Amino acid sequence: MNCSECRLALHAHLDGQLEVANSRVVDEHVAGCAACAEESAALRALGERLRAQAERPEPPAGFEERLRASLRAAVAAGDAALAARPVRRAAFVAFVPRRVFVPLAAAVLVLAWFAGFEAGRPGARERTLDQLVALHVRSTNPSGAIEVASSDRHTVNPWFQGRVPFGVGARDFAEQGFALLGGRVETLDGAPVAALVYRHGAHVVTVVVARSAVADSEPRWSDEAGYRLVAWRAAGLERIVVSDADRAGLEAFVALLRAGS
Amino acid sequence: MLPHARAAFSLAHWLTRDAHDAEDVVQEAWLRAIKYFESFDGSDARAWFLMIVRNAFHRWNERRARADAVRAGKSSDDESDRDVAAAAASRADDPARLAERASERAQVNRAIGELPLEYREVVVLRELEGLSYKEIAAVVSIPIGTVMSRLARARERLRDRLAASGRDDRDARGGGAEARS
Repeated sequence: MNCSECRLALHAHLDGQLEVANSRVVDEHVAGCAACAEESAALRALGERLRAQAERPEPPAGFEERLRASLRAAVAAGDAALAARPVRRAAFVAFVPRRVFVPLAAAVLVLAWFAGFEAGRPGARERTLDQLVALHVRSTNPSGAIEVASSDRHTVNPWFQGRVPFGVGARDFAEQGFALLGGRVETLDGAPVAALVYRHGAHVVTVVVARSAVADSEPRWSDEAGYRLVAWRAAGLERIVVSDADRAGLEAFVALLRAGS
Repeated sequence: MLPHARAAFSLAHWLTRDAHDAEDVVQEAWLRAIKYFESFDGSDARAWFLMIVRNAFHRWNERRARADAVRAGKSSDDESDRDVAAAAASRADDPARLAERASERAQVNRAIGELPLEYREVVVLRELEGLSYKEIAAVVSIPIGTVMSRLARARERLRDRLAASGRDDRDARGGGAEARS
C-alpha cells in the first residue's frame, strides 16, 4: 500500500467500514509512515471533536403531538391514501415490517377494543391503535424501553407518583415466575398510563394500568395470532395484559394481579 | 417518542438550519412514509425513514427556491446553498453571535453548517447518526464510493475551516504570536 492508497482507505478504516484484512494493511502502512500516521491522528481527532461538540438538535416541545395532529388533519381533509391505511399507519408507527406486523396488528386491534376507545370519535380508533402498537412493541424491544428499572415495588411505585394520577400497585412475582423488570409512562388517548414490564421465561409481558371510570368487569380473554390479551377493570383501574406467553401461565399471573388489586 | 423521530428532526434541522422548517420537513416525511410504507422492506427502518426525510427536504427546498425566485423576480436555478450561506453570513454578522463564536463548540457547529449540502448531509449522517457507509449510500441514493469521496472532502473542508477559525480566535484574543496548543 502506498500513501495515496492509504489516504483513501484511512476514512473507511477509522469509520470502522473496512474488512479486518484491509484494516490490517492500513494499520501496517500507518505504523511505518510518519506522514500517514499524522494524517490518521488528525482525522481521528477531527472525528472525536465533531462527535463531542456538534449539536444534535432536539425536537421542540409538542413535536410528536403535532405530528399526530397532522396525520389526523390529513385524514380529516380527505386524504384517501392515508385514511385507507390504518394498519399500515400503525405498522409504521411501530416500524414493524408487514410480515411481522399483520399478526401483531390483529392482536392489537383486539387490545384496542378492550381498552374501550371511543369508536364514534373520528380518528380515535386509529390513534389508540397507533399508540397501543407502539407501546406494545416498545416493551418487546430487547433494548427495553424501561424508565424505572427495578424489581422492587418500593422503587417502582413511588417512581410513578406524580407521573400518573393513580396508584400503580406494581408488585414483583419472581417466585411465581413473573419477574418485574420495571416500568415506564405511556400516553393512551391523551391520558398517562403505566406500562409495567415483566419477564416470564423467554416471554415479555406488558401490563398496562390505566384509570377507568367504567364499571368493574371480569377478565376478558382473546387469543389472536400468537398473542394473548386479557383486560379487566377493578377499583377504578383498568389492567390490560399483553404477551405471547402460554394461556395457563397468564391465567396464573392474572390471578396473582387480581388477588392483590 | 416515535421511532427515529429524533434522528429525523436532527437531520432536517441540519439541512434546513431552522427548527420550524425542520419540523415542516419531518411532518411531510412522516405522512409520506405512512403512505408509502409498503416500499419499506423491513431491513433498516432508520435509513429508510431518513431517506424520506432527505427527499422531503429537497422538495421543500425546491418549493422555497421557486417562491424566492418569484419574489425576487430572478431565475429559479439559484442553488439553496447560496441561501444557506447567506443565512450563515447574517448569523455571523449578528452581534449576539460574536461572543458565541469564541467557543470551540460554536466553531464546530458553524463549520458543519457552512458546508455545502452534499457534504453536510454525509457528515451529519456519519458523525451524528452513526450510519454505515452502506446506509448513507441508501439515504442519499449515491454509490458507496461517492459516500467515501464526499466524506473525505467534507472532512478536509472542516479541518481547514476549524484550523482557520482557531487562528482567528487566537488573533482575536491578541495572543496570535504565542498561540500554540
